[in-house]
Amino acid sequence: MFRKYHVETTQQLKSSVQRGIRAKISDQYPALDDVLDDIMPKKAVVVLGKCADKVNVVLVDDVPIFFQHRDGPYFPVLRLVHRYPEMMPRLRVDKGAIRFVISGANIMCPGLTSAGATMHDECEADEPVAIYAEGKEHALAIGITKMSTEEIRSVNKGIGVDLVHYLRDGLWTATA
Amino acid sequence: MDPIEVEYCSTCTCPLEYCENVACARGAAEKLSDVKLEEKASSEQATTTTSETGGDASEDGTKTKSGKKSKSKAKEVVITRMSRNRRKMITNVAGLEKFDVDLKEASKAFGKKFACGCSVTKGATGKDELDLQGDYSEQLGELIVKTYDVSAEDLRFVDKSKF
Repeated sequence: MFRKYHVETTQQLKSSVQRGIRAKISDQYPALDDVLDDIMPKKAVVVLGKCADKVNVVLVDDVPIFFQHRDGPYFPVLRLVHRYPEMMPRLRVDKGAIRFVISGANIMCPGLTSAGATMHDECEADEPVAIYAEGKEHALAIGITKMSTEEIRSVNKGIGVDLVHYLRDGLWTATA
Repeated sequence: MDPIEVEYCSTCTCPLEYCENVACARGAAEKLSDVKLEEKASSEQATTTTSETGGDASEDGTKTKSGKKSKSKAKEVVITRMSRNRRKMITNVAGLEKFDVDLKEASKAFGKKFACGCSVTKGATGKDELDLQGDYSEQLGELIVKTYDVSAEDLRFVDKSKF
C-alpha cells in the first residue's frame, strides 16, 4: 500500500470529526484507551492527509499515526506498534519469511504454521494484526488477516495475511 | 500501558535487531568484521600500487572525465514534473528520440499503461517531446528502463512543480 508515500492534500479536521476518529480508534483498539490522550493530545493539531488510491492518513502534529484505506479499519503506524505492542493481535512468522516480508510480500499460511512461527492471539478474518518474526522482539509489519487463525491452521495454503505497511516502506522512510 | 522506546538504527532506520535482515551497513559490519580486516589489508596494497603509477593515472582521469561529460550531454532522458492548475501535474519526457524510440508509438504505450493522455509535443529546443497528463515521474522512469535500451544512469529527474 505504501511503496511510495506522498500526501497529496491535507485537511485540518473539525473537532467533531476528530472526535469521531478518536471514537473509532478506541473502538477498534480498546487497549489504547488509557494512552489515547498521549497519542492524540486534545490540543494537538490533527490533520487528515489524502494519499493516492484512497488512502487517508491521520497526522498528529505532522506525524502520521494512523492510516485508513477507504472506509476500512484504521491501521496504526509501525512506530506506534513498537511503542504499544499490546494494542493489537500478534502473529509471528518463521525466520525464512523475514526477508520476503521486509520487501513487502503478503504472508502465506505456511509461514505462520511452521515450527518457528507462532500465532500469539486468535483472530477473525479481516482483522488488523501486527506481524512479528521468529527471534525478534519488535514488529516488522502490519497486515490484515484474510482468514481467521483457525482457517490458517486448517487450510495452510495461500495468503493468510495481506500486508499493508512494513519496515522501510514509503510510509516508514518518510517518517524516519 | 507504558510506551516502549525502541532504538532505531541510524543508517537503515530499522529497529536494531533488523539490521542483519535489510543489508544495513551496521549489521553487515558486525557479521563480517573479520572479512573486512582482510579487505582493508588488500586495499592498502592496492593504494600503494596506484601511487606508483600516479602520474599516468591522473592524466587518464581527466581525459575520461571530459569524455563522459560530452557523452552525457548527448544522450540523456530528462523527465520533468510540471504543475498546471494547482494540483494537476504534467510529466514531460525529453530525449527519448536519441535512444531510437519511436515517439508516436511510445506515447501510445505510455498513455495506455498509465491510462492518461500522452502526446508528442514540440519542446523548447524544437525537438519532439512527450507530455503525459498526470504525475507518473517515478513509474515512468522504471518503465523506460525496462522497455527501452536506456540505463538508469541516463535518466534525469527534474521537478519544476511547487508540490
